[in-house]
Formats: sequence, C-alpha cells, structure tokens
Amino acid sequence: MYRFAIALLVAFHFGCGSTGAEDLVLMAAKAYTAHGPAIEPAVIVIRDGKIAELGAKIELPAGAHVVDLGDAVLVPGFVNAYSQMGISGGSSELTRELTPDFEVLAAIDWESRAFREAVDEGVTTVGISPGTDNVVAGIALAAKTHGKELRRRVLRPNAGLVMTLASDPRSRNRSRSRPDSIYVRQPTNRMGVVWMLRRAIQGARRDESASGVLAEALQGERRIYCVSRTHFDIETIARVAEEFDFAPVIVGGEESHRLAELLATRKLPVILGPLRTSVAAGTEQTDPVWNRAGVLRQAGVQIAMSGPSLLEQARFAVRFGLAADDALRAITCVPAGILGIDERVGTLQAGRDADVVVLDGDPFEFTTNVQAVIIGGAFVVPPDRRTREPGEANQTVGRHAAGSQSRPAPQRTQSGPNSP
Amino acid sequence: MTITCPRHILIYLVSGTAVMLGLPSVPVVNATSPAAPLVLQGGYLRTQSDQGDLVGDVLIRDGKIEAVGVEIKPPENARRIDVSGCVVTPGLIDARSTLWLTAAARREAASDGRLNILDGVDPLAEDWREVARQGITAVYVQPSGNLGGQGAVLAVAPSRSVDELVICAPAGAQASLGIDGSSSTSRARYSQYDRLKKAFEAAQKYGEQKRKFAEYQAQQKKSAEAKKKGTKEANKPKDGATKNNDGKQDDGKQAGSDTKAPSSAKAASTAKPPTEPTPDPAKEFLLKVLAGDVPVRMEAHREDDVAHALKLADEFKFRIVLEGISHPRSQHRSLLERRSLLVLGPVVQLESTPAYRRRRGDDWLTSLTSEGRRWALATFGEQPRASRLLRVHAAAAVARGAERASVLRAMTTDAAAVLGVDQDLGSLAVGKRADLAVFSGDPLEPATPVRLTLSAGQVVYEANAERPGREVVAERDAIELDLLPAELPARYAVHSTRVLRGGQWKPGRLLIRNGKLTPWKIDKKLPAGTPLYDLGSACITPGFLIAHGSLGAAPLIDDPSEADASHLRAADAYDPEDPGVEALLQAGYLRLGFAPGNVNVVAGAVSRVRIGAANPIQGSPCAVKFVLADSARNSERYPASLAGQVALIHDVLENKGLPTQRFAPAAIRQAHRDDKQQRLAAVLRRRTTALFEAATATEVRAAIQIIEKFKLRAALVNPDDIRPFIDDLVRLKVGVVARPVRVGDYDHYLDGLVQASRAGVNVAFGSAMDPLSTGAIDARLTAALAMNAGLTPEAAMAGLTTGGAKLLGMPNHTCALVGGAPADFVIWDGMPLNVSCRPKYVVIDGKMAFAGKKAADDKMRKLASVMPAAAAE
Repeated sequence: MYRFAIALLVAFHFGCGSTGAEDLVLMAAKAYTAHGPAIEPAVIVIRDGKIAELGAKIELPAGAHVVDLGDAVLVPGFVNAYSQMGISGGSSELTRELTPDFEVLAAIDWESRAFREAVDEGVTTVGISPGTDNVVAGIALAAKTHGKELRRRVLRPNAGLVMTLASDPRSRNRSRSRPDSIYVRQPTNRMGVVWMLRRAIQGARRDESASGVLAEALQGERRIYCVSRTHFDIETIARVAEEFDFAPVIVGGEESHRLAELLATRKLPVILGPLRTSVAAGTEQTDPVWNRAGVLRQAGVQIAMSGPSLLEQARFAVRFGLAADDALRAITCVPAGILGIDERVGTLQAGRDADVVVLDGDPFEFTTNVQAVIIGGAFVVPPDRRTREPGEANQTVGRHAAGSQSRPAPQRTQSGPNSP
Repeated sequence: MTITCPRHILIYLVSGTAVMLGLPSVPVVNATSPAAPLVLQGGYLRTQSDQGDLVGDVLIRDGKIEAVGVEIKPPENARRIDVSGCVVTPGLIDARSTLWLTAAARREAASDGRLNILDGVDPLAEDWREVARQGITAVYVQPSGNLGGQGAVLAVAPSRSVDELVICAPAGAQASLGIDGSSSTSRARYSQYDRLKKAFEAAQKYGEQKRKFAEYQAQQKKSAEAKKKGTKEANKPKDGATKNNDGKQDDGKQAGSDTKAPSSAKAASTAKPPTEPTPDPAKEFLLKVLAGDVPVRMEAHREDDVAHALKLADEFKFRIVLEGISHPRSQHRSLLERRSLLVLGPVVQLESTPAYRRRRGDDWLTSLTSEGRRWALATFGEQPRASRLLRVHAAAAVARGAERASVLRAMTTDAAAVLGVDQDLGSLAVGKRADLAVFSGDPLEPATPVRLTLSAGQVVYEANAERPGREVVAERDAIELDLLPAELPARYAVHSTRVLRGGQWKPGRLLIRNGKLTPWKIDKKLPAGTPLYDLGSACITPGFLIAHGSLGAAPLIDDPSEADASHLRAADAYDPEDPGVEALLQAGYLRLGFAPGNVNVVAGAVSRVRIGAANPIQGSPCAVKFVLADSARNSERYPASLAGQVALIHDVLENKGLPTQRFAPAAIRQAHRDDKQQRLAAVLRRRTTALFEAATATEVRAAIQIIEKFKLRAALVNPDDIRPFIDDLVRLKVGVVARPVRVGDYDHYLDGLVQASRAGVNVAFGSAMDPLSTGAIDARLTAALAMNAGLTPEAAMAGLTTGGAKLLGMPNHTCALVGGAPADFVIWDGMPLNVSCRPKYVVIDGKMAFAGKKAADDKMRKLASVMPAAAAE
C-alpha cells in the first residue's frame, strides 16, 4: 500500500508537468486479462481511452504518463449483466402485460447514486433492463457506469428483449383489489403467464408483416432474455423456446443447477441473479445451492453474474467450487458477450476500452480491496488526479501515505473519463 | 462617496430596482475570531431603539453591540466593513418556525406539557444557511399538540451543540385550541379546552401538594430541632434542678395536655401527614407558567377558541401570547382591550391552506395590529427552511395595509418583546447581542438581497457579490396625484415619470383613444380637449402575464381516462366569472397562458386569455402541453411509467397514437382526430409552442431529448433544478416557465433560474393552481425572489411581460405599451416587483377595471411622504 502511494507520488511528479492527451501507462505486478494467460508483470499503454498495448515488457512511448501501481493486480472492469440501475419513474409499464417496445433509455437517471456505488465496486459496464412486472417487459440496454457525455455512456441502446416467465407478472393484476376499475390486467396466475407469452409469440410468428420487436427477436435479430428462477419455469421457457425455435438467456436461474444438463445441451446461457445465501425464501420459494455456478460450469453452461457486489459473488462461487478463471470470466467477458458488447469491454486486450480495476491482491481473496477504477482511460476511483494542481495532488498523496494502513477511501467524482 | 442625505437612501429604497445586481451569492462563513472587534461603517441604521434611524456605525465586540452612533472611532485591531448605502437592521426574528427541528420533532405532540423542544433540535442541520441568507438571526420553536410543552428561542448560526443555539429556553409553553384534526365538532373542541384546564388544575394541585409537603417538612424539621433543643434543655435542668422544678413541670404538662392533647390526637388519627408528590417535570414546568415566569403560547383561530383561551388565562392567571387568530370576530374587541400580545402569520399561504386559516378577511392583519399594538410576525413554517420566507410575509403584510415601520418592528423589537427576549435581541442598542442584518435595499422587500448577516458578532452570511449599485433614481420629492376618475372618458392621456417601455422606466405619456393605446411624446401637444392625468412618478406597466396557470380549473379541463388528451382545449373550461379571474385582475395580471392540468401525458391545448376583456379567449391555442412529471403516471391506464410517457409522446408526435377507447359517435371521434392532427401538426411545424411539464432531472432530460429529436419550439414548465441543462436550453432555444417558490425549496432552485437567465434562456413565471389560495401574487413573488438570488430587474420584468409572451408565441404587442395595442395597463402604488406594492388602478380597453381601495390611496401618498420624513428624524 505504501509503495502504491509512493508510486503515485512519483507518477504525479512526472505527469504534472506535461499537458495534452498523452498516453497513460499503467504498471502493475500482474494482470488477469480474462482473455488469455495472466501477464506478469503487467504494463498497459492507454491511448485515447483505449488499450493500445499490453504485455510484460513494452517499450514505453515517449512522454507517456506512467503510473506505477506497484504490487497491484489489474483485472478488466466488471460487467453487471442484468439490473434496473438508475431507472426512474417506474421500471415497468404495468398498465399492460406485453410491452415489447418499452424502452427504459429515456427514463434513466444518469446521476443516480446506484451508478456511483457500482463504480466503487469496480463495475464499469451494466446491462439495464425493464422490470419484471410484464410478461414481455421491453428492451434492455448496455451502458457504462460513469461518463460525462451520456451519448458515449450508452454502449448499446438495444441489447435485447426481456421477457418474464416467473410469477412476477401475475402480482400486478388489479382486478381483485380494484373491482371498480375497468382496466383489468392479466394474467392472474403463473399458467396465465405462460399462456400470454405463448400467445404473444404465436401472434408475432403468424403476422409476418408485424414490425414488432418480438418478431425481430424471434427471428434471431435480437437477444432474448427470460427472467425465470424456479426449475419448472426454466424448464417451461426451454420448452417454449424449443417449440418456437429461439435461444433465450436465462436470467435469475436460482434453481438452474437442477437443469444443468438441459441448459448445456440446448446452449442456453444463464445470468445468475443476486447472491442469496439463505435457504428457501422469496415469493417463489426457490431452493438455491451454494455451488450453483460451479455445477452449471461443470456441465458446460455459460454463466454470467448480476446484482450488487459482483466481485463478492464471484468470490463466493470460487469458495464453493467454481474455477477462479471461470469466475472472473463470469463477471467480465461472458456478460459482455451476452450483451453483445465484447468488442468494446470485458477483456484486457489491445483495442478494447481501457476499463481497468486495480486490486491490491488476488481478485478472489476475500481481503482484497478495489484500489482504483479506470473507465475509458481515466481514474474514476479515486478521481483523476492528472487534472489537479500539483500542490493539490501532493496533498492528496500525502494523505494517502499517512493513512497507509488502509486503502484510500473510494472518492466520488464528477470528472469525466475523457477529460484531459 | 458617503451618503449624507438620508432622503436619497430612502428614495433608493422605494425604487428598489436599481440595486438588484449581483452574482449568485454563496454563503460564506468566516470564522472571525470573537476577540477581534468589528465595526460596520456608514450604514443606514434602523436601530429600532430610541436612537431611531440614522446614518452611522456599529461597533461590535465579544458578540455584543458596544456602540451605535455617528462616526465611532474603531479600535486599532477592528475589522471594518463598509456598509454605506446599505440598510442595517437588528437581525430578523421569526416568531414561529421549525428551523433546527428534526422531521419527527416537527410532528411530536402532547397534551400535558411534557415535551421540551430542545430534545428535538438537530444542531448539525444545515437549513440555517438559507435562513441566515435572508437576514433572519433568531427563531422561536416549540412542540405541537394541545399542550405540548417548552418552546425556545434559538439562534441561526453554525453550531455543534444545542446549548450553543439557545438564546432563551424555556421561552414559552405551547398550547393550542381547535387546530388539529379532531377539532371538527364542538364537543371535540370543548374536550381540548377541558384537557388544558385539567392540566393546569393538576399542576395547581401538584403545586399545592408540594407546598404542603414543604410546609410539613419545615414543620417537622422545626419540631425535630425544637425537640432536640427541648430534650437538651430538659436534660440540662434535670441534672441540677430536678427537685426544685419537679412539681411545677408536672403542673405545666398537665395543663398542656388538658387543652391540646385531645385535638392533636384527633388530628393525627383522621389526617395523614402530607406526602411528597412524585416529581413530575411537566408539572414543574407548568408551575413556572402559573407563576408567570413563562408565557403560554396559545394558538387559536376561531372566536370560541380565542374566548376559551382568554378564559383560561383569566382563571389561572398565566401570561398569554396568542397565535394565529384568523377569525376573532366577537373576540376582536376584547383582544384589543386586553392589549394581548399576538403572533401573526403566515400572511400569504404559499401551498395548502389549513381549514382554520381559510377565508381570512383582507383586513385580518390590520384590524389586529392597528394603533401601535405589539405583535410579532411569523412564518408558521412547517419545514425548517420556511423561515427564509419571513420577508415575503412582511411585504405581504404591507401590501395588506400594515404600516411599514410596524412590520419591521414585528420582526425585530416587538418580536423580541413578545418572545420575552428584549433584553438580548430586537434593537441596535449598546449591550444587545450582536445579531444584525445588512440589506442592499428595503429590508421589507423579498427582492432585496442581504449583504451580511451577523449572529452574536460572527459573520454567518456574507454575499460575495459586487457591491450593489447605489444609483438613486431622480424623482420629485412629493407626489401629488391626480387620481383617475372611476369613469374614464373615451379619450384621455396619462403622464408619469415611470412608464415601462422597452424594458426601461422612462418618463412618458400614453394617449388612450377608443380603447387603443398611443405612446405620446412629452413635448408633443395633445389633441385639443384631451384630459391629461398626471400620475407623478407612479409606475405604469402593461398588465402582467402568467405564462402557465389553470386558475384552479384543471379538474374541469382534464379528462383522465386517456393519457393522450391532445383534443382538449383549456379555453373550453374558461369561466370569466371565476373568482380567481377577479383575483388575478386585481393583482395586475391581464394575460394568462391558460393551461390544462397535469394528469394527462398530452394534456391538451393552452389558450391565450386576456383577463377582464369582453372577449377573453384570444385566437387559436398558443401551445400544447405535454406532461413528463409523475402526476401523469396512472396505473389505472397507460402509461404508468416515465418510459411509457416518453414512448407515448413519441407515438403521438409520429402520428402513431393509439386509437381512442372512449365511446363516442363516429362523427365526434372524427372531429377529435382532426383536432388532434391539426394541433400536433402545428407543434411539429413550430407554429405553436410545446410546453413540457417536467420536474426531476430525468424528466427534464427526457423532455430535452424529445424537443431535440422533433425540433420543437418549446419551453419547460415547473422544472425543479435546471442547472445541469442550461447549455441544452440555450442550444435548443428552450424557455422556462418557473413554478412558484415552494416552502421547502432549496435556494438552488432560484439559483438555477438566475443562471439560466444569465445564459440567455427566456425565463417566464407560472402560477400555482388556484390564485385564491395564494392571493394571486405567486408569479410576481417568484420574480422577486429570483431577483433576491441575482436575477436582473430587467429579466424579471421581461419574464412577467414581453419575454413570457414571446415564449408562448403571443403577438408582439402583448404585454407591451406600444402603439395600436389595446389600452390595457396597470398603475402601481410602488415598484411592481416589490411585493409590498399593489396595483392602484387596472385599466382594460381604456376603461377602469379596478381601482384600489381608499386605504391604498392613503398609502400611496404616504409612500412619497412618510419615508423621507422618517429619515429626517
């Protein structure tokens, strides 16, 4: 830690004098790329917010701003595959059951605290989906968790269509609580959910001219996500998918381990939901198993993770049987692949966005901390110090050095990733 | 330059417009060492003491005022602040506030006096900053309920503990009659009275018991001592003189027992000795009240409650301070005769009005405060930051006819007297606590920014603005008015030295012929036989504009069954007989963007209304209103989410809207469809304005994206905070219709308007739903408060007139005194952006539509004469 602070101090010393968009070079003890073997020691050259080069030994470009991170371990920025992060004014259009063209893009509060908390945990990219109140919920998107320009934050406004085959949609039925209302919403039970989904798909299939989002998705032009948690819901969606010939991504999948073989043979990826360690709970009374991820992976199912504390979830999975390699991939490149943004994020490779998490030790060690987060080539946690005055920077470093027993507290920032 | 002529300052006060410059002020708290003396030099001191008003210095040392006078020689080490051209008053006091109270403490109630408000104070709360920024340095806070308990006077200053805040505690015993939810029946009201009575009786009994026990204890002690002495004495003689006195002593004993013993034995057997009462802090406190140490603060509004309150005060002989008194009726006389101390407010009701305050008479305040009676002004704020609006109530009190000097006293010396803290607060006098406020103009005007606030000699707020200008508008000393006759001829001219033309105050004449206006050069001869009315320096403006308002008629306009209500036209629900219309007219508003409410996503068409005109609806709709705020989300019909609202607006503008589900004959359906299409086509062709009601940042961003995508001519309505979007607003030429200031607003709401205006955004002003509940001043008040935050007077005035009209796409002559325009204008009894001023005359189509009451006439003369006279003293 102390070395880290000193290294920063040195870095500022070199960096402060120069101006303009010069290269940033990160030097660390090790980097897990989620793409190939680990690089040791690791040097990453960042240019224009992208990774220009990386390797163990690299000729440093002239005039580069070098940040020696000492013992630090670098991993790709984490990707949270499924969330309702920042959606304001209602995450579902619950006046209807089927809202395939419902887009949450216009209703995202980009200043939401949830994004800042995600950045602090090392999450640099997030999939944002409509809520689960509707049978066909709407369109998901993929975005960065930080950035000044909103246009550049959205990586993919159209990352797929979200459906719900679970008991959630029936809970919004109001015909019983409001018998006076003429706006009766279906379905009233779980089988009704399946019926509505099947009817919707049939409708989209039959009507060739329908310009529907659903029809496009069924033709394979869009990714389909299906929120299902219990084993019978997962089984049902697998059956429906087979019937109508599409391949959904299972979201939630709390009992997916019971269907590992089926999911593997049908090549259906699973985005595991938030970590829950208590036994049967929730409205659906699912029965999660702690080595869920390990069982799925063992069977050859592609897994990603979602929900809060992504790194903790991966650690938990490793603790109960998932290979460390797979665990890292489950929070980086696999979700990036599912969201269709793996050309931009998810791995440490030349040409990818420079989204890097700096850890002070092995990623799956429970005592390891997130020391810094870099998004688009800029330090977001702690905030980009290159824009500060030299005096100010020294002061900051001094403070870090003084409190060298603990890691620098994650600091919130408004500064953009692309600011010089 | 030093100001030597106080008259000039006062003129400058009256013509407050010249001073409202200044950058947005950030509260700066300087940790001035309390040891260093501080001197404020050259201010116009309104001391509120025997010294009266003077131009002079104030010397402050160790948190106290050390000297007040002309040209005080400051000590060497003193910090000097030049406040010349500014008005210095004692720090203002809000006699009933909820500043410093936690959310829970604001609601906590009791009916036995057991609460102490100091237990609900959060000394680390930050709300004080915005309150200090308005020159308020002390607040009175108290618990609630039938008989809540101890209230306190607290400072408005940074603090680390409750103790640092306390100026006086306990300063009152909170009580109320007839204000809570259970006051609807007379029985419930009586039980409240009864509870109070029982509480005081119980306290009396407790006191009696305590007294008896103390007496008994004293007696016991005495007798014990006597016994001790007695035994000692008895023992003494026993040793030496037993024999001698033996017989005598026996005799004496015998004699004593003959007379006393039977009675004392009887007493001992029938009455137990008094016991010590269980200590009860609530009753202990009420004993202080009954002893007259602490007054009862009794809130009562109806005459029966007031009568009950006075009856209780007589019965238990406590000191009473009455609060509220909205409808004293039969008790009015007894209140005046008893010279009861009163706490009055809020003068304007900015949001919802509680039932007991509704329909207060227009003379409510003046009838209670006439003849130099002592009263204190209060905001009765339900939120901590509400105290920052104290001066709004002060100005409104003046507008309702209260004397300016009396209102200032009600926030300073009289307030201190009512609160029982006149030893420490309320005047600029030697030995008082150094709580001061320095204003860049008239302290009673909400538009006047504060330059400096001191609490116990410490700077708690300092404007970082440039020194406000001291430009004095030249004017005649005395205004002799040719009052307009009630019946104006078909052709006449008016003259004033202050006519608002082209955004500037200029001397000018207006010739009115057959209801049309012609500006007339002063030196040009008027047509023969034209009467000329000389209005002196009275301000003449066009009628003001409310850019967005529904007159409380929204429920009549809105049909909430379908979110796309683009076929609706607000004008169809306009009722010229609505009392709100008359209220607007009398408040000087003659133009209105009459809008549907906000329950539908496409709310309908906004119409131009000429208030008071024979034919009020002007032409086709000028705007279509879209709602992205949460009021249009309805889980009973589509849409129930913001994303759904956005999708619906897209569909409607792309002409993909859903067919209506409503039943209607085919012809009507077709007519609706045609209406919709025509209206939306006009929006897309930028011929009519699109108004987007959006409050939160996400909603505003969604609105901006729609505006950009469809290239609309648009304005935002009621946004909460536009600071992040100013660049977008400028780029897309989007205007803003500001909503009225709310009690709980943070200052950044107004700061956002000021920043937007500086950047070139057209800022107009909207109104709350019902003009009757707010006294129809809200648009003007928003403008005034924005000026307080740094908006230029020109921008504020434009927002109320031509700027707002432009934003709504109204014709050029709307809200402007230009040739050929209808002769609609307003003659004010002061500067129109001063909330204490009111329209004197409202003229529509050249005819008198409203003439202020007699009281206003008197006031207008006073305006010119009283103020300099006060200064001459």
